Formats: sequence, structure tokens, C-alpha cells
Amino acid sequence: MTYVGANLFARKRLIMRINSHLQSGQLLFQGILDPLGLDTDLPRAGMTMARGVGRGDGPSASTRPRIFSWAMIPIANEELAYSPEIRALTLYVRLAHDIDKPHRRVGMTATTKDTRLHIRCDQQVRYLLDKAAAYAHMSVSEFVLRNAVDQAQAVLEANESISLSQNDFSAFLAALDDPAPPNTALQRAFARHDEQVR
Amino acid sequence: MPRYAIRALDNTAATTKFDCGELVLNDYLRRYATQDVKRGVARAFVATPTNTPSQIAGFFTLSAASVQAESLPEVWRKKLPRYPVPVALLGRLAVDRAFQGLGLGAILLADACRKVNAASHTLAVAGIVVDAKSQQAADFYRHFGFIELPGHPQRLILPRGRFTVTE
Repeated sequence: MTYVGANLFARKRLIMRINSHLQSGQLLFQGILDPLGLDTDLPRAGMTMARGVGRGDGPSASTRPRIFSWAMIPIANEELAYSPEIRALTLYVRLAHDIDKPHRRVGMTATTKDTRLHIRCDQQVRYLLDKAAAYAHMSVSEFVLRNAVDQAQAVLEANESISLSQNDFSAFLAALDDPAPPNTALQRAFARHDEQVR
Repeated sequence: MPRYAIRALDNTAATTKFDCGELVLNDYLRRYATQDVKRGVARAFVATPTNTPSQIAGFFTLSAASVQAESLPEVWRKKLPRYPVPVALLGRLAVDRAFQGLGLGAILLADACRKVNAASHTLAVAGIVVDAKSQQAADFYRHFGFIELPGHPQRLILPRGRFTVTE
């Protein structure tokens, strides 16, 4: 089960933001806009809303009342989790998340962006990024981050994980069950280690 | 018979003087090993003769990895590991020319096995995986009980039982 989720603040502004980003008439959020209001299902994407927490802590003594919502959308279909729709949803949820700060957290884990990455680049690169981000309907930060994160995951994958086909994986698991003790060569190596290493 | 001390790589070890005959490995030790350790992607250990503790006779690196079944198309799989089995990765192991042929490779391997075994109390691993860069390297590891990782002819694994000794 894969989740997208975030604290949602200022829903109205979120919706305005989405509208302004989707002037091209894309309908990506038709089924999703309302669920940010918390209890509609998402027939288009085939998702259901599992949990939505309405009010937050309520108005605190010194601050104005806030709309304080928390949404988490479990996506049963793994392929869907990385569909453009969901990526876009995640993006806008993040945008919304960035709009109003500071904020409080509700009980469940929420992702906060609390570290900063400064990157210097020359004018040409900046122009390139601005333009590419515009085409992708993302902020430059989001564009850079999203792509860097994808790339980073690929690098980690290449370095830390080994994938086997189902058959090979079964053979691998079977090999792990081999009850044989260290062979004589390795036992000799252990003996040499004892002798020569202090 | 030469005696060695094996310790985590530190800045008193003369990495620039190390020469195992393979440029890539020399280069790795000189330029990247310390960084890798600092940045937490690998742990590096050096063997030094007991009377010359700055001279590196051999080294090896260990890091964490996992083996998993691929059952999803490439694009999804990279984000959705399935049933990953943790393993230790013996990334590099090399012996300086001056110490080759004296059984130091076996000693380093034994040391790596013991370190992994000791660490398995906190993080259990299913085995030790190595990338055999050459036929000669593959033969070396096979000699100690490593078997081919199914579907990955270049990679070998020593299942946990084959290096766990009740000492």
C-alpha cells in the first residue's frame, strides 16, 4: 500500500492555485479536488479516501482560525501510485503545504520541509530550469527537487539493491537455507586470522 | 610469518602508497574511501603490518545492500522494493603487491566474515555478496565457498551459514 498525504492548509488557496495552474483545461483534479474536502471517493483514479481528519486544534488563543485538514490517500494499485495524476496531486498538496507556515501538526506523521538546499548555477542553467519547470507546470524548486529525487533513488537502487527474477530469487532463498558450515578453506582462513592478526 | 593489525581506515594510513596492481582499486582507496566512510555509504578497513602501522598491506570495504525479487515493471519496481533480503556487500578487497601471495587476501576475507557476523547481532544479514571483477577474483571467492548469485554471473554470495562459526 502506498500513500500520498500531507497536511492541508488553506484549502481555498489550494484550489485557486490548482485552477490557475490548470488553465489549459486539464481535468486531472476533477476527482481529486473534492476529496481534499475529505469524503468523496475518487472514481476516476480508482482510489478511495481512507481517512481524513477534519478540524485541527481549532483557533488558538492568539492566531486567526485556520482550516486544518489532514488527508491521506491509500492507493491500492501500485501502478497508480506513480501515475501522473497522483504525482500531480502530491505536487499540489505540497504546494498547499508550503503556502501557510508556520503550522501545527496533527497526530500522525506529516512530512515537513525543514531543511534547505542552496544551489548556485549560472544564468543559462537558470533559464533552462525556469523554462522546463514552466512546461511541466511546476515551480522551479519542485521541478529540480522532483527530478533530483528520482535520480537519487535510481542511484541508491543501483548501489544498494540487487534485483533477481522470481525464479532466481527462489533459488537465492534456497541457497540461503544451505545448512553447510564454512568450508575447509575458509576455516583455514579463520585460523590464519587468529594467528596473524592481533 | 607477517603479523597484521586490522583497523578502520583513518588518516594515519598512507593510502597514496598503496599499490595492488589495479589502478581502479588504488584510486578508490586514495580518493574515495575516506569520503565514503565519512558520508556513510561504506566502511573501510585496512590491514597494516604490526611494526609499520601507516603502511597499508590490504584493505576491504563493507556496506549494506539488499536482494529482492523483481515482479513489477522497471519503472515501478525502483520505488517499490518487494521482500528485500538484507545482505552485506563486500565492495572491494585488495592486497598490496608487496604482500601478495602471503595469504593476506584470505585473512582479510576472514576478517570481513567475522565483522559481518559480529554485526549480525544488531542487523541480521542473509549473506555476503561480492562483485567478482575478474575470473581470478571469482575463483578466489569460490574457493572459500561463495556461490554464484542466481542470474548474476558476476556476483557471488556466501550464505550466512557458510561463514558463521560458533567460536
